[in-house]
Amino acid sequence: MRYIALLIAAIYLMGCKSEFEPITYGKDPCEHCKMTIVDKRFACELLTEKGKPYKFDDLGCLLQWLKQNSNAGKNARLFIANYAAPDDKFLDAYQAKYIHSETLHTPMNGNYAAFESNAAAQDVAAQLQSNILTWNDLK
Amino acid sequence: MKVQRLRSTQILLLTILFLFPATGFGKLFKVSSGSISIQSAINVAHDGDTLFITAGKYLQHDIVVNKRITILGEPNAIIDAVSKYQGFLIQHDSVFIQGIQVSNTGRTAVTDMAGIKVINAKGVRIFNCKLINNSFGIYLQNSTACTVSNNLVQSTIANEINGGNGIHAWKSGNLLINNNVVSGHRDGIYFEFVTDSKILSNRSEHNLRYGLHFMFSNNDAYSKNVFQDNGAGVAVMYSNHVLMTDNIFTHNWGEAAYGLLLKDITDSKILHNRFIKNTVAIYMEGTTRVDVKRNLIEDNGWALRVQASCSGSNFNENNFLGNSFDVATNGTLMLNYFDRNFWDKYDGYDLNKDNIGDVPYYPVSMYSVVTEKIPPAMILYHSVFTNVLDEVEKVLPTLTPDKLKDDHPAMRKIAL
Repeated sequence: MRYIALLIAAIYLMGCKSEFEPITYGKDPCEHCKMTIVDKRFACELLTEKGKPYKFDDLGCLLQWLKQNSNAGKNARLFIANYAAPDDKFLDAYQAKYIHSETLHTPMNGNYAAFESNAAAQDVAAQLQSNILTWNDLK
Repeated sequence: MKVQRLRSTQILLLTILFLFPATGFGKLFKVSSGSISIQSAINVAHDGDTLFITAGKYLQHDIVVNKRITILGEPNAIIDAVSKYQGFLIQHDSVFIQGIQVSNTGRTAVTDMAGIKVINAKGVRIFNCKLINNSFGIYLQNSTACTVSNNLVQSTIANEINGGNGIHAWKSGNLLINNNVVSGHRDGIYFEFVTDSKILSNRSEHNLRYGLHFMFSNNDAYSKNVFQDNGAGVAVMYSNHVLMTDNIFTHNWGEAAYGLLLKDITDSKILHNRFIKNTVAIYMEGTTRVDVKRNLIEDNGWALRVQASCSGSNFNENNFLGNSFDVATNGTLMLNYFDRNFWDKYDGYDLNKDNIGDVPYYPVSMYSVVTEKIPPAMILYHSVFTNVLDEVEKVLPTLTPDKLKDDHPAMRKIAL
């Protein structure tokens, strides 16, 4: 009986976790455009206040989705891949620095790349002749 | 007799002209692996000349073709870019390249590296080439009226996430992509901002994501292609006036895999294709005026998933055979029309023997509505309980959209 109670508690707790859910590349679809997420450099994720994760293949998709689902997106946490180190931990999208350039060829033409800091973005920004943007500059 | 002879001479002449169109009366340069590099040969060549590359391995790269020349490769003439560089960069109109193999381009995040890249050129033809283990195989950028025929584009590094596409076209027009075999890339054939082009008789299989991927590309047609065993099938998105005929979409299995994924597509036609053994044969979201006619849709998990955002589409004279679910939708209002299809699950009658069922067929089963809302409910599929519910729903429809029906279901399979 005790084990069953423990099991139920464990399942219950599993259902409650509100953490970043890793993206399975080549399997998980983008919530907005339905494409399978493959490009590690541009992936991002939205975690709602209640802890439900939504995954995207392009920041452009996430921004569009936010516009259309402003209720679900309220107080959500946002994570975005680090363009300079796509295998590292995702960045907090509100704190990240961005560059915007057509030459990035992101999956859905959002054409944003995220970096940890101004210093990290500098090289690519110079190469692509782009300004460094913050979250509030994004449309 | 004399007339006859003259004619055959003419035919011979014409054949020669057709076989070697760009050779004209230019000079022929022979390049072998011991002699001067291909680039230096190009540098001394003039418009209309031909480069003949003999068999052998050439550790050469980023070969800039900036003249109207023909490049012919002997079988086993291999350009190896040693996993660092690109192969050919064609930057001139009317270049003809045939029979060359390009292998092992580099893979970087910033530049798209390709075996053969065509940049800002018109009328380039790429025939009978082999592109093996490259990031991108053939890459067309800002190019028009190019032909890509009979090439083998293959990569065995399929599990690499950051690989490129087999045949990639960007901001181009009037292309003809035919009789190519593409496998092991991210997307087999990729079109972005490409108009007035044709994709014919290609085979695209075992690609990581899509066999064919269409984005923002209008007035294109693809026919007689086979898309098989791709990670997520074929995606046609954000385009209008796309004609899809006589293709085969098969064996695309997975949670987010579709025979054909349509998103934001208008005024397009899906005619006489075969969709066999896919998780979802056709998934439609945000489509307007798409005609789905005379297709065979067999042995799929879902034959059609039509989201409520679709309107004005017609589904006529298709054969629905052995699908777990015929139609699923997430809304109750239905602005699409189903008529004169054959549904193997139809159990109505035909008293006047006109081969059309006398009572309508409702292709959305109660259970497909339930699983659309609560996906984990799939675990109960085919249980006695759900079968009973399905039967009750047939008599007293409550959950399923009652407007979504086929008023003239065919009694017999439609000959396609």
